[in-house]
Amino acid sequence: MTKKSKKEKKVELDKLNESLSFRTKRRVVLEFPPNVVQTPITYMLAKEYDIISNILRAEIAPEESGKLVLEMDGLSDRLDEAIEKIRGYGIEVTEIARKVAFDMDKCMHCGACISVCLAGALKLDENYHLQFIEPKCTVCEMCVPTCPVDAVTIDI
Amino acid sequence: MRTFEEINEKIKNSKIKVLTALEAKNYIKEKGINSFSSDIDVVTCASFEMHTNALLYLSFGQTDPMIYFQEVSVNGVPAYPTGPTDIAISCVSSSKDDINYSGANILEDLLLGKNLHLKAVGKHSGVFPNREFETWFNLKDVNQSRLLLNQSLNQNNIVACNSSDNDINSHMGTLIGKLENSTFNSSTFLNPLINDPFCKTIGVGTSVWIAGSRGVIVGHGSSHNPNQKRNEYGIPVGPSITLSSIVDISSMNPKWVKPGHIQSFGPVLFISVAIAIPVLNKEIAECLSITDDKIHTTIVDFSIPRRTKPTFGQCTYAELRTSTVSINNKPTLTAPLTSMAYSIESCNELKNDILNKKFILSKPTSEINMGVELKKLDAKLGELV
Repeated sequence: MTKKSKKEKKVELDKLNESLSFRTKRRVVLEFPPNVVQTPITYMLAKEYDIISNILRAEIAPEESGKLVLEMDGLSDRLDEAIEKIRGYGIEVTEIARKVAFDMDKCMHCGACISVCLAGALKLDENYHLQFIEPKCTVCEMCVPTCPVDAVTIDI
Repeated sequence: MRTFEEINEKIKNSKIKVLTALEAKNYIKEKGINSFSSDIDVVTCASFEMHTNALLYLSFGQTDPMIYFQEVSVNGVPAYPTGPTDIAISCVSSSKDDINYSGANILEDLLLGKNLHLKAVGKHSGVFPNREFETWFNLKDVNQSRLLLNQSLNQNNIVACNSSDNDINSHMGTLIGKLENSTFNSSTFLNPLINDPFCKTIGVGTSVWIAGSRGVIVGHGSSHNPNQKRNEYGIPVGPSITLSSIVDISSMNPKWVKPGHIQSFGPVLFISVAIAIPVLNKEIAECLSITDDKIHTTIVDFSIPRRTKPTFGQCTYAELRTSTVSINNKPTLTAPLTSMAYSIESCNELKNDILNKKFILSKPTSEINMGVELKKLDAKLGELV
């Protein structure tokens, strides 16, 4: 009995690993009109679509329109379904395809961009050189005008 | 223990022992101060900071027929005539057509060998009849080209933060409201004036390395405030001594000159300034052992745009380098505005110049004035009484 359950567990784990490997990440901006601000989006995503949602930025107040920057981690077709469902609530969904690009020939490693990166995607390494940790970037674009030598641009 | 003459003799005989400021700190940590002061002759210190008090002086030959400049512009940047065919260009004045093109860009373009457009209106007198003049010139067509950095070195600086509700775009970068972030602007343990806090080896006439060219210190500079409060290690806790330098730009390396633009503040010049500090005696060796945990600075709140701003106490640069600092009991993101990477490279560059006998030290002819008080400029309305 115990052996079987162990085997079963292993099969389950393999399945889970397999499904995880097909998971993709997508970044979206959700804009809530005032009447649907109370909708519990992240719970719905987890429960119905098995999507891990990571809130990168949120500006939501009751009775006011809100904005949510979300990283959704799930199976690609389920992500599509989920986005359709969110749109059904009357929430505007825009996918972030933009990327921040650093021209390291222009960069002089001063650190001005680090001071406005509240997401923590920028830091100096032990040799005081600028390091860009892209997975952490929320594409808030604060660093673009802050750079004194125009080394930061937005790639679309 | 050592004199300037002995050190220069060693440079000529290739017997000189030079370390950069970064190497010197590690050396002292490993082998101790006694071994350091007996073995090492010179330590190179540098700072790659933002400059606004910079003036470019260009001296041209005479035109035919002769001209006395009245109104001049170079690539659209207004220049100030200082004699018949001399002009001064502020590195922080922008072109009329393109706000992002400034005097600092002119300096960079000259160093890159580019051709610039000069447009002049003459005074039109009997001896100087030329009314209008236009030409293209590059660095080779100029008789003399000098750069005055009136705040070439700044001993210490502040930490800027913002406690108001709105974001502020300042000369210390974008400060997000409610103490979300803060910035600091000093090369700290690499800065020559931190390594020689009382100007024991630096004075009027000291050779200074500016972007690869050899300049000279002419005295104290803008906002020089030697009376600033100092901590127990002799380091001022805010902006203090500043030095003014003049340098010939013709042998500069454009790598160390970067024109910049700060949001809602305007054009600035980033330029590398380095000084070689001779280890004359043990006292100077001890000053050179300073590290970030012994350098304090003041946290200033930029939310009130007045001359005297509220402060949030002091912190050390060692805390600031961890990128989080506690301001008003709130953990705040903090980041530098001075390039440490370029400062370290500049230290290495000066070290190589000394090893290759391209740079020799010079003894100051007189001391930096440490008795002056920082004056304020107040408005006086009405007529002079």
